[in-house]
Amino acid sequence: MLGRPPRPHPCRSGFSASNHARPVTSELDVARIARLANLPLTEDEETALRAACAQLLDAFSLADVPDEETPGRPCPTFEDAPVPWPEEGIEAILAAFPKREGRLLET
Amino acid sequence: MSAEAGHAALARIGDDPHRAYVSLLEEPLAGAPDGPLAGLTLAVKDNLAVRGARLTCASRLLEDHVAPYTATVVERALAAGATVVGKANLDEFAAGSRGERSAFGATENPAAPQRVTGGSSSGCGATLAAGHVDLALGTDTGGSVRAPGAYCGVAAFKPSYGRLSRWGLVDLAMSLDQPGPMARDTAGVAALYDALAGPDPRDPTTLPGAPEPASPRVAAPELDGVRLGVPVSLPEGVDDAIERAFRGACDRLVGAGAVAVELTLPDAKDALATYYVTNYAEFASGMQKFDGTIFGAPGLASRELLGPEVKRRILLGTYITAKGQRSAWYDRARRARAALEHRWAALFETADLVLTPTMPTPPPRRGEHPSPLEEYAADVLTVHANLARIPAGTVPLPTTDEGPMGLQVLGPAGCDAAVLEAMAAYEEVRA
Repeated sequence: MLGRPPRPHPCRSGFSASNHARPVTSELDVARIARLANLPLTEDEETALRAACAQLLDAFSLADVPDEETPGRPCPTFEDAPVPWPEEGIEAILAAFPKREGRLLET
Repeated sequence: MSAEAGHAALARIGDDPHRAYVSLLEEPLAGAPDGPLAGLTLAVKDNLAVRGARLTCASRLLEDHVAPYTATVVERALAAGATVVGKANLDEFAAGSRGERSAFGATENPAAPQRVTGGSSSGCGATLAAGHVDLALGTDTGGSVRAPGAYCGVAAFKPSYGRLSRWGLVDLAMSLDQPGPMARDTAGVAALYDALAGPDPRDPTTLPGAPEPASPRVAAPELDGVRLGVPVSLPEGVDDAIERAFRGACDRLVGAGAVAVELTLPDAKDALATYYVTNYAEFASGMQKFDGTIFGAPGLASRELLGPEVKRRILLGTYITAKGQRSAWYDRARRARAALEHRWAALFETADLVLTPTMPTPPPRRGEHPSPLEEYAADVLTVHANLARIPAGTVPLPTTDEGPMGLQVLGPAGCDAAVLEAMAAYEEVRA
């Protein structure tokens, strides 16, 4: 048989997977992210944000759970549900804008 | 209250004891002499542009910024006759649920002294509760007009996404934000909503077609046979007094002819997680424009002026949209949001409208400094409407010793008038 066997449908399997891609939040590099965000932080702010952000990310990880409350309806896990704006849609929107020439601030 | 009386009342308050305003206009901005809002005074949240007036978003970063144009919703309120008297206080960049995060000071709750107003449209709620204006225009990203509505004992409405133009609104999270009318009763909210709703060529996310006017339905509300979805159980953390008042309100509406339908709300924890991941990502993106090039001091120095909650959201939003993290967080949240919209669509196949309490507790005491997670938990009943892009409004339940509370009515997308009608129906039967 080629490829992997199909995954059982979550409604029938009782599938409830944890978020495998969940990052290790205790290693959150606040200084690096702050540089990416153009956010000047003091050392005290970095320390406070490191603890708070790790706590929030732990709380807000999204695990797949079956939709058992609406029998008869398709079961949208977070992996299976459509992305509201598919990549093609975003590309079409971007293509509708005129291409920028040169640097914005050059006159 | 006439426009002159309204401004005189504001002038008398002098130092604005509730800190409901970031700035009062030197002269009220008078609207058209006729129109459905003629003679009514309006406070505008200070994240909506009014040409020539300061637009601070309650942030030191924008303390001296003056708006060069007027938001569509404000233009429409003026065209309908409203008189703009001032820019109302808010949590900095609308990032807050309690009304305590303005750089210019926390707003005080005239309806419940020593307790928070709710946020982020804190000044709108406070100035209405104090009786200083007839109408207020806030914005709602995850409950930001409904929380101050509930805590200050006034009515507030978050329309379907796209029903009101966002042109001229400084965004918190662009796929969740909606301007939200507020007033002391639903008739006022509906009058303001009717004046503002409709497509705007400057905001391509507005819904096409003329919306159904709400005011005629609000003037003679009718609930005979309307199926009201009532949750079998409420999320963990809902206060007993709130649940009792909520169940009592449901009974009164059934007594008025509505039919109760039991249902189960979508998972509260997932809704909060989906909401905040989306909020962080879109907020961090939107805040990149405040880099000193156009707004604030040159360079990045002005970003040091941002408050801790704003910095936290920018940091988290940058992290979860960075290469290597985006699929685990932001894309996942977008899929979770689609699943939630699906769940709400299923609920509206069995119920015409859904009822919940607006907030899980009475207004908390000021200065308690909850953790971010504890603060976010207060949004557990309001974020659903923004994620599912559906209309939701709040109307006061009977007030307790601990302050005002709200009944929330939610409806299918586009059924804004039906939600407002049910709010008005409850006002008629409330004790």
